[in-house]
Amino acid sequence: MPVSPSRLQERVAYLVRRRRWIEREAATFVLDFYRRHRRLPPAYVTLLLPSGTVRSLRLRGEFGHLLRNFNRFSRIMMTRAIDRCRGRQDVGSQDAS
Amino acid sequence: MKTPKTQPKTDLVDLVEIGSDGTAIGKSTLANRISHLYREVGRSVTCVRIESSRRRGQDAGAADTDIFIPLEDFTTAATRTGGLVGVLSPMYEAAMRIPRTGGAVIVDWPGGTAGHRLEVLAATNFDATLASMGIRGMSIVMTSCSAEHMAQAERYLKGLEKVAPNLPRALGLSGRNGPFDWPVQSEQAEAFARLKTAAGDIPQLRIPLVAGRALQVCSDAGLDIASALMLPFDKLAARLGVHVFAASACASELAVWWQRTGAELRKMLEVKRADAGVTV
Repeated sequence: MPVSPSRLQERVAYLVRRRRWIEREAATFVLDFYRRHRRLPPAYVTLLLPSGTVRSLRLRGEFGHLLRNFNRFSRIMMTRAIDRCRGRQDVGSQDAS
Repeated sequence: MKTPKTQPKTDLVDLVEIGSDGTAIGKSTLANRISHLYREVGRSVTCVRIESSRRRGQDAGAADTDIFIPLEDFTTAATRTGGLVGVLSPMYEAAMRIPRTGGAVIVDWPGGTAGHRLEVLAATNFDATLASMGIRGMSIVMTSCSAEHMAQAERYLKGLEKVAPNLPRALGLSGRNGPFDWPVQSEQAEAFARLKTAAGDIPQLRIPLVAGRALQVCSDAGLDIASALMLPFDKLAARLGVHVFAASACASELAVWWQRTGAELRKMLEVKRADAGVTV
C-alpha cells in the first residue's frame, strides 16, 4: 500500500532535523565503534564527519589499542618478575634453614 | 472580510518518460521519486514499468496504479497485432485516460531499449498525438558520468529531436557512478562537452548520489526508499544488521537526497519550465 504523502513528508522533515543531532554525536559513535570492532563504521556514518576528523579518530583508536596491549604486557611482565622474586626468596629462606 | 490567499497548486506535466540506453543509471529510482512527487502535489499517478519479469515486484507501491509490461514481450512483438505498439498498448491506454482523470503517467523504460522507443515514437507520431489530446509530456534522457553512457545519451537526444521534435526533452545527470568532474581534455570531459552541445538549452536535472551507499544498503535488504524512510530506527537497524545510530544516519542520508531531488524535480517538471525543451 502506498505511503501517505503527508506522512512521508513529515518523516523526511523530521529526519533532516535529526541529522543535526546525528552529526554532533557521530564522532563519539565512530570512536566507540573503532574501539570495539577495530574498523570504521559504514560510510554513511563516517561521511557525516570531515575526513581529517575520521583519520584522527582512527589514530586515537589505534593508540588506545596499543596502549591497552602495552598495559597488558606490562602487567604480565610485572607478575612474572614478582613471581621470580618470590621464588628466589623461597630458595633463600630454604638455604638459611 | 479578507479572503485568505491560497497557495497556487503546482502544475506539473501530465506524462513523464524516463529512458536511457545504459543500465544501472538510476531510472527506476527517479521514476519512484517522481511518482511520490506527484502524490505530494495531490495528483493521482500511474507508473508504467517496462522491465524484465525477474524484476517484477521490486519498487512497487510508489504510484497509485502500477502497470507492468514485461520486457520479454518485446521479442514476441512481431507476432502481435500492432507489433511493438501493441505490446505497449497498456501504456497508451493509461496516457489516453489522462484528460479524463486529471492524473499523471510516469513511464520507466528499461536500459537498452532506446531504439525500440524511438521506433514507437515515430510509429505513433507521439508528440503530435499528445498535443492533440492536450497532454503535456516530457522525455527525460538519463546518463551517468561514464563516457559510454554519455555518448549513448547524446545519440538518444539527437534521435528524439528528429523523431519527436515537439516533445519536450530534459537531460538527467545521475551521480550514481560518480561526479561529472574530470580533468580537462580527458575522454569523459570531451564526451560531456559533446553531450551538452547536443542537449543545447533543454533543462538539465542533477540527481545527486546518495552518500555512503545508503541506498544500495537498503536495496540489498529489500527496502525501497520510502519504506526505509518510514521504518522506525530500531526496525531499520534490525533489517540492515547495523547499530541503531548507524540506521538513523542511513535514514537521514536518504532524507537529504529525497528533499534535494524533490526540489530539483519540482522546478523541472513545472509546466512553464517543461516547455523549454521543445524544438520549434
